[in-house]
Amino acid sequence: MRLVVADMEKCIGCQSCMSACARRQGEAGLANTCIGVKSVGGMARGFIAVVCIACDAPSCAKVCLTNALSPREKGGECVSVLLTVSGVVTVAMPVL
Amino acid sequence: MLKHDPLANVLYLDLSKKSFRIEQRHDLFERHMGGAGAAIQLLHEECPEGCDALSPENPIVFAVGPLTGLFPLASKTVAMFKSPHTGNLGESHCDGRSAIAIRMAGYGAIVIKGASDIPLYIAIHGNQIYFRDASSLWKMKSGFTAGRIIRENEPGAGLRTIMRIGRAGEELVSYACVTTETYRHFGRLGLGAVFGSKRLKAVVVSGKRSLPINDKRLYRKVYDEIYHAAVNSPAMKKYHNLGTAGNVLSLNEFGGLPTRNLKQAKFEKALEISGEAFAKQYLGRRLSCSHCPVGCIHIAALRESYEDESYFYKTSMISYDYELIYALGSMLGVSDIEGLLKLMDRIEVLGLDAISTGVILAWATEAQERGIISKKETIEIEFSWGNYTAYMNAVQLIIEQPNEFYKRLAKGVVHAACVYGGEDYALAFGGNEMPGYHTGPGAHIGALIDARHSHLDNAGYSIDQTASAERHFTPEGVAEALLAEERWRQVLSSLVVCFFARGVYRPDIVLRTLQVSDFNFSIDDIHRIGDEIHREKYRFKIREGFSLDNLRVPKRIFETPLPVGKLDEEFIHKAALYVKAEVLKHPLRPKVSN
Repeated sequence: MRLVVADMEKCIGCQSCMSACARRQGEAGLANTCIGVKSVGGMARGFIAVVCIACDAPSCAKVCLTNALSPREKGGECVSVLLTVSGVVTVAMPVL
Repeated sequence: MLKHDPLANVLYLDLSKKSFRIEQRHDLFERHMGGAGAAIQLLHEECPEGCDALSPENPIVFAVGPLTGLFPLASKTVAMFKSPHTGNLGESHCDGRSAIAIRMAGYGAIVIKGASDIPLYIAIHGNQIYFRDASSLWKMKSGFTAGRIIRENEPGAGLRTIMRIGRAGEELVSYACVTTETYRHFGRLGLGAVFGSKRLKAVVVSGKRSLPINDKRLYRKVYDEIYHAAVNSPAMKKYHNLGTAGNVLSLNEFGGLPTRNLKQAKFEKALEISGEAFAKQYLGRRLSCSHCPVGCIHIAALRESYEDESYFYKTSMISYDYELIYALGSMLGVSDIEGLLKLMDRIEVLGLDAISTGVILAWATEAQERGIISKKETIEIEFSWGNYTAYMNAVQLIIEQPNEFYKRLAKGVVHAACVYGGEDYALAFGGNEMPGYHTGPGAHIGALIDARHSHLDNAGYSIDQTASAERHFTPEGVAEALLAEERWRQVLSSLVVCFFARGVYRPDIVLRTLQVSDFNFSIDDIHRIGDEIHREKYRFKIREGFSLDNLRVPKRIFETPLPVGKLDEEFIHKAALYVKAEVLKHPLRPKVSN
């Protein structure tokens, strides 16, 4: 299922989701988390979450020159690996 | 610990030479775990005996622990230094994003020595270290603005901490704090002044990495256990709903809320500044520290109109909690909630410790009431209970220090009372202004013997409120209960677990979390380590002149009736004797050579 950002006004910035995403990938720490929660220019004004929302027509896949990214058939999730110029596999898009 | 755990990395920075080095210190973390345990060792190693707290020789040590980044609520950074406020052990804990940023940058501890010739801030982005010119940030009126500029200038949004000082730190006010993430603080004991003495405006740390673990299944299992315990426990719900401000009414009802410089322990207007009143009228947002699902940080939204322009407003977001409501509210007789928020905001902008500031202003009010200081000293300010405008003006003068009186106030209540008198109602223990508890013998003896002279490490107020056995109200019973709590809290603060989660991190859970990082301790081991850390702190304190034989006790605490137990000088003397015998039971270890 796709992740719905329901109400960022309720976000307290605990970043537990970032850690959960990493654990889902068998990791501890934040190196490979696919969610980024950060303040809207300071803690006083709340937070934004930078996250793949698995949209229906993903622009990232459209512009991917090497076809490393492709939309999933079911649920619109976009799961693949991203190849850097040097060819090193660096990141997986989130399985949400 | 695991061989490749970056926790072992200690980053040493020299502000005089603008240089740094990284050392692997497995010895430090394997033996003392991290946090307070590692920091007190680094302080012993780096702080010359008898050094001036505001000299380049005084080190600033930051340390995190093995659970940071792995488990929820292990989100504190422990700072250690020699305190310019007490001339003795300086220890302060702060959360926000500080601990996880240090861990994700790849360090277990950071040691800062020397002093810069120009104002600067340090940016630590993983293994990239920068010394940045902060001349344009120095003497900036608002700490918020300085923070905003650094935020614009540095990478790592969402994964960084910005620890900064305000005007108070720059002007070496001995109880200046260091602020992180706008609302969190290394408070008490003057870390901000140590920053200021080094011309260090800020430290920015960021990073993003994986951490090694030795058993993924165990990791997930223990993680889930802690997470669910944390979000479902009644204590955590309390911290989430009203926050610590929820204690105002209960302490007032108990008769333990210091009011008007502790002339009373009940505030007749407590209802007006209660956690419930704040939440209902002003709560605008809750915040959490990194990797903590509780969200205990409460932010009020204060809307004010501009006097000279109609239909023009500003909204300030102001952090409040119990200690601020006590120190700047009941202690000063301030019941106007909007005025109280404005006073909190002023103190936040300037970077002062709120508890010390409130207690000092309370002493000044009573001193003026009794005629031992006049408008000549105060520069025409007339202190009176509840007059928050006068207090806001005075706070500004504590920063500017235009005369001898304000210079004295900038050094703490004991310092001021030594010069002007009124020592009996100068409410400080071990040189540190009193926390907000007049609950019984536990609270006051706790502050006297606590390694950092606060309510934080032995929670005497809790012993007063929960004690049912008679022994808790004997000198030895109180002392033993306080020592037991303080020793155990050394374990928690070495793992940098938030004390709000002490009910979650029970000894058996602690052992299992440590196993994930290959620390294989027994229950006896961790109790022994807690005891050792406590004694190592006392070794530093005694080295720097602290003695349990000549404790300074303000008489006011005997005059205002306690809700539970009895307290007199003899009771305190006996409790101190007990603590002394316990602390010195084994010879304090000689300095460990590196």
